[in-house]
Amino acid sequence: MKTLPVFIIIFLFEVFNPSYSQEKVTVSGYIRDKSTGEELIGASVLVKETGKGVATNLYGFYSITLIPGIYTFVFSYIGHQNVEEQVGLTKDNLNLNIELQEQTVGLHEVVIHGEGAAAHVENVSMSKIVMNMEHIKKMPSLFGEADIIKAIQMQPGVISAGEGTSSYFVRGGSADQNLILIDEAPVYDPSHLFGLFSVFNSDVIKDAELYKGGIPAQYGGRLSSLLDVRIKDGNSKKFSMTGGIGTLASRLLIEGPIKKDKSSFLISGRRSYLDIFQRMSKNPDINANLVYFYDFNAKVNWKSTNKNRFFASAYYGRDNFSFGDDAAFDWGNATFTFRWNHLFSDKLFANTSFILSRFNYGLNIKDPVQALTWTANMDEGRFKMDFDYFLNPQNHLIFGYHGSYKRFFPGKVVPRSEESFVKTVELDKMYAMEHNLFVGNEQKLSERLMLQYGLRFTLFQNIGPAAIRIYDDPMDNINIQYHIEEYDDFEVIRSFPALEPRFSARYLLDPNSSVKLSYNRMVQNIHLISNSTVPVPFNTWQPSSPYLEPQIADQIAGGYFRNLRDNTLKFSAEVYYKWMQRIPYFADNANIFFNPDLATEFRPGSIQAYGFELFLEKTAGRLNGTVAYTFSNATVYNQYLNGGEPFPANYNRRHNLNLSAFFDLNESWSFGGTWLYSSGRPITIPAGRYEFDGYNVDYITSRNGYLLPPVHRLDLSASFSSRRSKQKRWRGSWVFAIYNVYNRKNPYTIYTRVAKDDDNMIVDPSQKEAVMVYLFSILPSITYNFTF
Amino acid sequence: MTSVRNWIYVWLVLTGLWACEERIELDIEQVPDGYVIDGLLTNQFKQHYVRIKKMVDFYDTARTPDVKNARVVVLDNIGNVYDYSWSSDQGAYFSNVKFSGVVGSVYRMEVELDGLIFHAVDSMRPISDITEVTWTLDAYEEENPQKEGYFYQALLTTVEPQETKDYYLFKIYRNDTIQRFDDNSGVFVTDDIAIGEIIKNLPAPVYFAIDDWGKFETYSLTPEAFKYYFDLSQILNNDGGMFGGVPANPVSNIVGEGGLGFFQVSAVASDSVQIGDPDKEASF
Repeated sequence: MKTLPVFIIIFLFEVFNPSYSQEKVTVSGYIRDKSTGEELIGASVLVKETGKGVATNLYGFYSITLIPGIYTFVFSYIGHQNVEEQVGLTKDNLNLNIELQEQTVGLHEVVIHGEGAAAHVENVSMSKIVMNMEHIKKMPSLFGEADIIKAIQMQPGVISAGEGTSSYFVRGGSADQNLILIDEAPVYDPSHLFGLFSVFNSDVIKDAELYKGGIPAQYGGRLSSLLDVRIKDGNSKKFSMTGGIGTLASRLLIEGPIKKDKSSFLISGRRSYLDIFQRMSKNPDINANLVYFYDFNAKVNWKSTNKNRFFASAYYGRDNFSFGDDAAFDWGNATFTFRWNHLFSDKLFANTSFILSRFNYGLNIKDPVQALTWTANMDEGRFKMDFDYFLNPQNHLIFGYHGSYKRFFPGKVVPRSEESFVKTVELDKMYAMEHNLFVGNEQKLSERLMLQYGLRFTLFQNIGPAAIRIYDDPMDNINIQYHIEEYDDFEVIRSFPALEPRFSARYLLDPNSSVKLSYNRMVQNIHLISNSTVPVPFNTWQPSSPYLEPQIADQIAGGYFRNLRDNTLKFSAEVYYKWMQRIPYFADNANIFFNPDLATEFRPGSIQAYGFELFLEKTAGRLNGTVAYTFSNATVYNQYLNGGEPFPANYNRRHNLNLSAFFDLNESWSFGGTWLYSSGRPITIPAGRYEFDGYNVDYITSRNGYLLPPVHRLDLSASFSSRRSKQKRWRGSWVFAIYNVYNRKNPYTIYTRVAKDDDNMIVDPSQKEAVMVYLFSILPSITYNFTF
Repeated sequence: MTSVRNWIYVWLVLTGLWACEERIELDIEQVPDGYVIDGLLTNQFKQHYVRIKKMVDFYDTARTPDVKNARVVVLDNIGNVYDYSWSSDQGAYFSNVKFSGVVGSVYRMEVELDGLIFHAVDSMRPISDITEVTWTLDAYEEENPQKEGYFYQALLTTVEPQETKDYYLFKIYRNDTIQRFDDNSGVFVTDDIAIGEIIKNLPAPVYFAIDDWGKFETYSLTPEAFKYYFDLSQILNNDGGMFGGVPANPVSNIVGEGGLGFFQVSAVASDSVQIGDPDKEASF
């Protein structure tokens, strides 16, 4: 820890530098979109005379301190026209709120995303992707539904769990190591319809940022990534309506002012209608098995004064699946966020949030003899205070406190009828409290060198009430012997303190290129109980506890970043190495569903991951797009599995290549295409077979020793928009898309079975065969989108 | 909790509502040597068996070869020794004498073959008698039967002692042929965590035609045997690790290099019904 005192010395010198004793003036304010009133996140504020600048924070607020004088401020944001303001600063601080007009592009105009693109080189953050929502809406997609998760799966360093899934893996981490936030509230299952859709309605998303590494100190809780999704506040200028009618689902968004420029609201909904088509079928296998989802977003905000703003947002989503009259499943997320932004001064901004989040599922079996209801859920209440302190142009401090209370309910089974042989059983609930303190600073040491460093302290406590089973041998999952230790309400069972240092550095080689380095330690104290490659809704979460230690990841990354052709081409090359410890694996064939002795199935191990990522993006002109290539490797080290030999992680994919292109032919027509390639998933296949009691059984030797064939796919889309007209507010567009244009049979999984003929009849019970499953052949879709 | 887990498997299968399949050839390594020992000793008065077979390559279409030259003996914990002999008619080793296993006894099987020694230990737990087996017509299945004429159900009624932790294996027969679904993957095993005292009219997972005989056998299991059959069910119904666990060999109680399988000691309760017997039609 010799480096720590050095940074303290640098920080103190910069803070107490005599040059700063000269009287200064602070300019601060909000930057908003002129048409909608939405605060713009990451908008740039540049002072021409000094060459220094800042960016707006997550709430659209900026603050910059200067010596009194006359300055030219340039305000800019991607896709908007720049605004220049000449300002004379005397002795009084200045509040300067700016509205930026969205840029409309003529046929032959070249859109330059100027200073916004420069951030790619100049910002100290690396391994961070700001999702381009306009590109996402243009991407050809499954069933014509623009989806942010599907777009994330196309990014370097991100691997899709498989076609049609909403799970993804980041730099060697599993799906549960990704923290997904919607307006600061955690979402525990991001998928609808088995992963065909995600929980995010693209119409309501204002901003989405994915951190793969270099994660600042205010974030924590998962090892591998953070997806921070911010919902629009609602148009505070005028009422508007946006929606779409698609092949499988439709959506509608209504937003508008409650009091113009003061308060606004937003409400949106989506619903699928696959079940409606299913009911029309005469095939009982289809019309009896109904599946659908729906979700809602709602938000209201109020700017009471320039110093105080209040927001309340909520999400509710549900999936329902019924299997004839026999069974029904449902699951979903619900979140609520109340947020208060307060300006203590022109330099000190505070955000206080109260957050509630729930994920739950239910299974109902209706057959009277075995009728039951099985429910499980996880609830979380969280309090956050985040401070942004714009100390001076060289130092932007962040600090704060987060506290949360979590309740884990693994499951309860209740009989549904008097004839049912099922009896009421309830697994013990688990409780936890978590406290986080963090402090960080973004410090500009010179024109070339910028640092971002911080420390996060986490105290996670598994608390009562609880009746903890203390096992004689926690590794014996067959002959289970234990005694009970009782704990009262809020009594601490185990405490898990942890320090999570964070560090990033950027060195500008020239105005168009830089090198960056980052290190972060992440700790994860809630764990998904899953032994599959793709999580299923029935998986539950558990807190760190006597038999489940916190997961830890240390990641170091380095990269070269360059902008070309006047910032219209962005290039980056990154390498990373990540070491993850105490990863909760499970014994072979573990019983993870409704098991009161689940702790005896834990088999913790480690993962070593490394990789190399290349990214190129063209952001200007009629033709733009991206190229993303990832080479990666993730290896599991676990003394309890695979005979103690290392084996590839389930989500290991050696090569990934994703190409996307968008072409605006004219004001009405635009075209899009994506092509992706991914190495096959490691899979376990039999080395032989044997007979036991008449069963024909696979014999397994090595784990994940076989590779599925690679996945590659071409998707194309064409969209037609009616011309913009000042007289008509209604604007519609049609999107025609083809998914999997050349009808590639992309392997989803391989399983073995007793050999069958083409009529699905067993040929010979002593013969076995391997079967490859693939999902989607060529799929056309049509979607109609509208705004009003 | 078997019914709940079965519904989870159904859900996993039905996620493939839009899945397609095709056969592929796997490039598989050579199978290592190994012996599979499959023994069953019950409380029924009869000659009990031990089968010993070898593993074969995955794509080998022949029946797995029997091992005929082993020495097999079973001992109990009160000094009885039972020698077994090879029966070529039945392709297994049978005890030279008829005997009944005793609830509460511990049995050790020893096998010597090809210079190798294997042994396994299991014990016999009690089993409740089956209260009755009845039959009923499934009107819904009759409207649209999967197989013409097969829309009758055999129903099991029995009791589950609440004061002990128990594990069960069920075997269902139609006219003396064991039923395990069409793809031979059905393993009907459960613990008692969510099972109440009275199990009434539990239907067999197959349909019967009129005049068929339907038989239930319930086996008591030790925790080790339950683990084996639970693991067996996992590997027989595996989806390649996508939504379920990675395939892995069942945990065996056979001790000895290269030994697989299980030596099972169980008390058995059994009852049957002829579909259409007016005295055995179920009442609800």
